[in-house]
Parts: sequence; structure tokens; C-alpha cells
Amino acid sequence: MSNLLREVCRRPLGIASLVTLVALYLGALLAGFIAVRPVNQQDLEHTYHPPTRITWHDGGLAVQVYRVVDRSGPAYEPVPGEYRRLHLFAPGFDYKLLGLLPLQRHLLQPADTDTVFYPLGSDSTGRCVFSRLVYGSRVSLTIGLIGITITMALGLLVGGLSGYFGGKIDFFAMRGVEFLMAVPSLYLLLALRSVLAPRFSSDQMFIVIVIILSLIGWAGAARVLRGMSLSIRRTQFVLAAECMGQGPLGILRLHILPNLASYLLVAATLSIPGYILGEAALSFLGLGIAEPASSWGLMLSQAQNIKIFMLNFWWLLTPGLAIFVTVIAFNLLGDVLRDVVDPRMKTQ
Amino acid sequence: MSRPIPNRHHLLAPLLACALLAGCGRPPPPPVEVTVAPIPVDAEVIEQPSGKPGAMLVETEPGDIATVNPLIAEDQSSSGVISRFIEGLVTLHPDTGEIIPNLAKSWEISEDGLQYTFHLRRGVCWSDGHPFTADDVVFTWRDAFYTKELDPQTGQPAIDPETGAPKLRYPSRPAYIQLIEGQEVKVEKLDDLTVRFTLPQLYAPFLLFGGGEEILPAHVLGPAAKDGTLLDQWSINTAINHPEQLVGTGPFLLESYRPGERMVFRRNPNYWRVDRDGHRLPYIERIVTSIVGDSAASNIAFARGLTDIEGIQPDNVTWISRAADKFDFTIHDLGPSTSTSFVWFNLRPGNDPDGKPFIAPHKLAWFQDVRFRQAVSYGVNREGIVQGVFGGRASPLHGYVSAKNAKWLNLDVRRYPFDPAKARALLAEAGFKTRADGRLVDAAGNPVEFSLMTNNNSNLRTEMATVFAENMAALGIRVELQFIDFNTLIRRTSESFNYEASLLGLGGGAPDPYASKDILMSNGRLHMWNPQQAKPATEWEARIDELMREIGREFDETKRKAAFAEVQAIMAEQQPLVFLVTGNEYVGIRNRWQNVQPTKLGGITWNLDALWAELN
Repeated sequence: MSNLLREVCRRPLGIASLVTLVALYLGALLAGFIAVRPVNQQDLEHTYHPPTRITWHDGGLAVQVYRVVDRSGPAYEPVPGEYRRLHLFAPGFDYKLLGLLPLQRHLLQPADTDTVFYPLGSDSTGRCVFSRLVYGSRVSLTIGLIGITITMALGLLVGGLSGYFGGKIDFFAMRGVEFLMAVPSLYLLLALRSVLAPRFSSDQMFIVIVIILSLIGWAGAARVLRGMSLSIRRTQFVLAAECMGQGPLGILRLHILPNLASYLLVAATLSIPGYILGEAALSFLGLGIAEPASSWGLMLSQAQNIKIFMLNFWWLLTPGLAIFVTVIAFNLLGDVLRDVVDPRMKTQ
Repeated sequence: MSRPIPNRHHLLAPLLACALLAGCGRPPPPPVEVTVAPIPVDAEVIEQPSGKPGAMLVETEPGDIATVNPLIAEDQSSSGVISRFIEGLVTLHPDTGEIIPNLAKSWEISEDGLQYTFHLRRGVCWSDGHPFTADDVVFTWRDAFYTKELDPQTGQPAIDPETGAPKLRYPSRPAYIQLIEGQEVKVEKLDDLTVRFTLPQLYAPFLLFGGGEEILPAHVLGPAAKDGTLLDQWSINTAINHPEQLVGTGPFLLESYRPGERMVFRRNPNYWRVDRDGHRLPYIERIVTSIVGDSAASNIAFARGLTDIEGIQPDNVTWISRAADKFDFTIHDLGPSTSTSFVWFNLRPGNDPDGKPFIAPHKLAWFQDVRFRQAVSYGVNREGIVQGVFGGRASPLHGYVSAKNAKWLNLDVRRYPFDPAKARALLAEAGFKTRADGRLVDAAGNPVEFSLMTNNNSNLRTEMATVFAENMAALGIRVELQFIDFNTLIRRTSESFNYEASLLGLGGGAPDPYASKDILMSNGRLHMWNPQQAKPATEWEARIDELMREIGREFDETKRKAAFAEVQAIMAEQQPLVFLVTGNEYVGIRNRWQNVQPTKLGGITWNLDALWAELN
């Protein structure tokens, strides 16, 4: 494993994507610490506020002061020469670090509580886009991890077993997989969402959707894994193990699984973006995460108002950028992993 | 932007099949011969300066029409098209809101208030040149509205087993509206130009609601009323294949229609209004109406200079006005609109068919407590919604009537300025407590939380709901937001009653308070918080019922106003609807159009027949 990591870090693309992903996940983990405001705090006096400029002023970090030019737009302009002090590790609103440790310190906070400080602007009700982005990353980034855990576990179980045992088990498992592949997933999601919506609150709904997505998404992985385990089953070391009287579970665990691990790793990395994009698409359609929770897809769906394009409130599209960066990073990492893993597969 | 057409084809397929089958047995409708009649003796002369005829007006309509038959039209798009060619005897003054002559030039009301005699304009003709007479009025009321369904076996009028009343042959919305407490109005023709309506009992808004009823052409629809196909007439199919069949007295006639694409209107050559120089109106030769997907697409088309005239959402005014110089248009601010927005709680007691209560009993107890509703009202930051969501282009709403309807507005009602401290005090008085973690709990310890739904295709409503949820969070109340499809929402609020709270709006803003009876009276279909009650659930609802009945009976304007003022005061005190804000109304029109005189009530299209533009 450490070997793999070293190989990945030797490649520039590998290290770049790894660093990006680690930063993103750290951000999600420490959301409360990084955010500048509570996720749902509104400020109806400062809706659609542009990102506030952060500068070095008077020997310290400071934020530019803006004034309203047109209430109805709304439009703001910087007040020349007026700045407010910002402090690192300063006290702010209450939160729980990692959900456990009650804290007040934040990465960056204005010295006065009434300072308007929006690192990435504000949305239609004056909520901080940056803070929502950071909190929203929790949903958008974990949805992939939960999804592939279920997908890969089921795929490995069904694919590995049916490849190993073959015969009737293989036949029925594969027909079941084909059945699942034939289910039109979008319609199933729409139907399940509307049936289940009244029974779950919006944050439970999120978990429900991931589970639905992955329960119908494991079929593809199962097919590939079945093929691989079928071929590994015929190799001499497996036959040797069988001759020596090792049970099927032992063989699966000690001989077949290690040979599938490299594929699993690559496939998992490459399929995480699918879940992130899936969440974005569902939330965009109004079927995913609902207010007042925050996710990147939800934030993007709230930016589809024509006013936002016509008045050039570009900062409301930053969730799209975040999705883009995450998806690219996962794809690059997957590619690098495959490059690293593939030659080893050949040598065996 | 084009609409997805396939769906509509599915809808149309059976219609077309019917038409084809019918076509085998019955000849196609006879061609309509159009003769241009002389200008009516009683033609109305407009006050505005004369203009030049011949211009073409281009506009967009969000949403397609469902029918062109006034008897079955329910949606706004269809009614809008129909009102271009079908008119009533009276109409409303665009400035004062008074009832003024339209197809009738004058009327008399008998002393007992039961007989209305209308004198029709002499010489008015339908668009095909056939004279418009009292027969048309009698036909509309007697043959289209009040004809009874005959029992095929006995030949006697069939009886509706549920109500015990005779079944109508053409059950339609206007027919039911024109039954006064279930009784018919007697309509008689005194001579060709005089009609008398005799009411079964006192009914104050008859002049407006009865007189404003759209009159149908007897010479075109008469045969259909006899052979029982009246409700099948003037369908989408007619509009597509035989638009010339759509005969009316209004200024514009439908010339062609392509579903999902566009409608073209042509000027009525037999219209009954003339300008000062004696030329027949309207000046506009054709109106081309493109059908677009939604109001956003419609607003964009105007902002890009593609259309001449457009109603603009308050939050779109700023960016659209930036193109005003480039495309040479003006946006008129018509002040507060008649549309309102409000939150209400489901107050329906009892159980659904599965035996489960519509809402959990402890929640129903909160919602039924007037102090809870008042506290919610104090907790809503209306000024913040006006500034933040509408960018200042709205005003806080304190009662049932919007500021636009100044005639009926009662300003002296209890108001709920944003005051979280007062809200907390009221909640404490009602037995609610605040837990250590800031959450509000009731006397039994249940945390106060409810779900609030609104339709997902209106960004203003979803943003208002977001603000509302945050305002409630400040009081320790958790609000779960559900943004759902509009039709699903209406089903849940009016059929299954499976919801806790909802945020919606009402449009229209009726000129007479009695039009609100379906909303305000406890047996009303649109009595949102607890519709169609067998008998009023609360004393204040009973009092509102009583006042509304008085408004229906009473002729004296001051008494009616006093009664409606009391209704508004009760609504404000009880807060069954927690009113939020009313947006301002904006219309844009290209500057090439002359005679544009926007009024608060009539908007910009009240004198569409007098608008003109230079030909280029």
C-alpha cells in the first residue's frame, strides 16, 4: 500500500490530484473551522453581495468595505480606502469540530461582528456562498464514498462468488445483475423519491438517495469482478490451494481478493465522480438535498435563475467549479492509479 | 425556446380521431361569410387621440391554451385568448374600478333590487356581420347555462342524486356561478335590444358578475346547444382548423393557431368602438402571440427586443431595464399588484380514509391556537423579504386585501411588524418553552417543528420560504422546506389534506369582495386552511360567513364596505393566513406604441384597441 502511494507521489499528476483531494476532504472535515458564517445565516440587507476583497492593510489582513449602489439590482461598489480588520484564529459562531469538540475559533474572522465579510459573495437571501460551499462539500464529497462502499462490497460479493463457484450460482447471479441493469434508474429514482419523500426528513433523504443509487449501480462492477475471479480461479496457484484442501472462503480471501484489489481501487476512484455528478443532477432537478441543508448540486440549482446570468452574479456558479475540480481530481487519480497498478497485474 | 410537443400530440390524438370519425357522418361546419356591417348607431367613441391603422403587435404567452370555449376554460391562458373576442354587457373602468357600459349602453335596477333591465347598443354586430341582439343574451343564459339534462326514459329533467337539484345539461363553471343559492335568474327578452333579468333573491354583485358574463353568439352555437354538443364546440381543434368559426364582438379574432407555437389574432372588422374621427377600431391589424415555456423565457424575449409588450416579474426589472435604450422600450411601474403571498397552517381536524389524523394532534393543537399563529406572524421579517428577495420592488402585506384594491382596503387592522421578542412573549403565554439548546417545545415537551411546502417553479416563493424558515429558526421553531410540483401541492392542500403548512399566493384581486366567498366562507372550495366545512369550525369563521352573506345581500355600498372591513379585521386578528408581501407590478412596452396610458387597475392592455404605431 505504501508502495502504491510512493508510486503515485512520484508522478506530478498523481501528487497534484492527491493534494487537491486531501485539501477538499480536510475542508469538509473541518467545515466549521473554515467557514466564516453559520451555514444558514441570512442577511437580507446584503443579498447578492459580490466577493469581498481581502487585502493587507495597516500591517494586517483586512477586508474591503462595500456600499449599496442600487437596492433593486442589487449592486454594490467598494468604498475606496475603507477597510475592516480580519483576524486569524479569532472567535466567531459556535460549532463542533468533527461533530464532537465545541469550539468558537475560526480560520478567519472579522474583528467586528457587523463587518460584511463574504469571501465568495452572498446568495439570494444573503447567505455566505463560501461557508455554504464548505458545508455543502460534506454532502457532495461523502456521497461518493458511501456510494462506492456499497457498490463495491455488493459487486465483490456477488461477482466474486459467482465467478468462483460458476454453474447455477453464476447463472442466477448474472441474470439478476442483468435485471438490475435493465431498470431505468432515473425513473426509479423519481418514483422512489416521491414515494419516500414524506417519510424522511431532508438529511435522511440524502442517505436514502445514495443507497438507492448504489443499490442499482453495483451491477456493472459485479460483472467485471465475476470475469476477473473466473479467470483467477483457473490459475495454478488457486488450483494448488484447492488441492491442498483450502476452503472456498479462504481461497476467496487469501488468493482471489488480493488480485482483485488493484482493480477495485482503480474502479472505485473512477466511479466516485459519477456519484458526485449524480447528486448534483438530482439536487438540480429538485430531487436531492433540500433546503436548509446545503450541497453543491443544490447551490447550483439555485443559480439557474436568469437574473443571476443577466446581472453577472458569477460567484453563485462556484459550486460548479468545485464539482469540476473534484471530478477532475478523482479522474486523474484514477488514471494514475491504473498506470501504477497495471504493469504489476501483467507480471503476475 | 420551444415546448416539448410530443406530449401535446398524445393529448390531441384522441381528439383528432374523434374529429375524423365525426367527419364521416357530419359535413364540415359551413363556411362563415363575413360581411362588414355599417358602424353601429350606438358605437362608443373613445377619448384618446386618433391614430393610424395597420400596425402589428408581437407578444409572448407563457403556457399554451387548453380550449377557446368560455364555458369550460379554467386556465389563465385560455381565458386571456377568449376575452379578446368574447365580451360581457358591462365592464370595469380601468381607473376608478366602477362598472361601466360595454355591450349594454345602459341599465336600470328596479326599486326592490331584483330586476335588472339592460339596453343593448343599437347596431352592434358579431364579427361575421350578424346582428347582436337580446336573443344572444337569452341564448347564453337560458340555453347554455340553465338547460336541464332530460332523463332519456321519462323525458323529465334528471335529478342529481347527491344534491336533489335538477342536473344541468351543460355543467360549466359560469353556469354554477350564475345560480344564486342554487336558484336560476329569469332572463326575458323585452325587445331586440332590451333584456330583463329577474333575480330569485337579493344579490348585490349581480351587476358585475351577471352583467359581466361573456355573451355567446346564438346564431353560431345555437345548433350545438340543441343537439347536445355545446361543450365540445370551440375546442382546440376548432382553433386549429376552423378559427373563422370563433365569432365574437371583441376587438380581436383568432386567425390561426398552432399548438405550442403561436397564435395570430386579426382585428375584428365589425368592432363597435370608433375613434374621434369616426374610424372603426382597433388600429392594430394583427397580434402575433408566440407561445413560450415559462415567464422567464417570456421576459428574456422582451429584454432582447423580440416582443412589443410584456408583464415583468419584480426581480427581473433591473436587468431588463438595462436594455431599455437599446431596444427603445419603457417599463411602467403600476404599483402594488393584486397578487398576495401568504403562509397558512393546515387546520383540518379529523382522520383521513386510512384512519390516520391529517396532522398529528399535538401539532393541530399548536396551529389551532391563535397565539401561535400570531407569534409566527410577528416572527416574519416582511421588510427583509421586500428588500432582500424583491430588491425593494414589493411592499409588506398586512391583510387580505392588497393595497391596489384601495376601494375595499381596510387599513385599520391589527398589524404584525417584525418583533421576535413579542413573538416569544406570545409563545410563552401559549405555554411554549425554550429548551437549553434554543429549540422551542410545547407544554408536553414536543419540539415545535413543521414542514412548509411551496411550488418549486417560482424562485420568489422558494426564497420567501427560505427566509420564513430562517425567521422561524430564530424563534426556535424548525421548519422543513419542501419544494414540490404545483399540481402535487394543490392535490395535497385541497384533496388529501396531507400537509402541515404551505406558502402560496392568490392572484387576480377581485373588484368585488363577494368574489372571495369561495376563499373566505367556511364551506368554500378555496377556504385553504380547512375547506368545505359542513358548518363553521370556529366562532370567527361563523362570523365571517355571516358578514360575507351580508355582503352578498346588501346593496348599500357603505354597509358592504363596513362588513368587508370587519372581515379583514377578523382575518388579521386570527391570522389563518399569515400574509407576507405583495410584489409590484411592472409592464414594459416598446416606445413606438402610441396612446399608451397605463392604469393601476387596467394595466397597459385595457385600451389595446386604441394602441397604434407608425408603419415602417
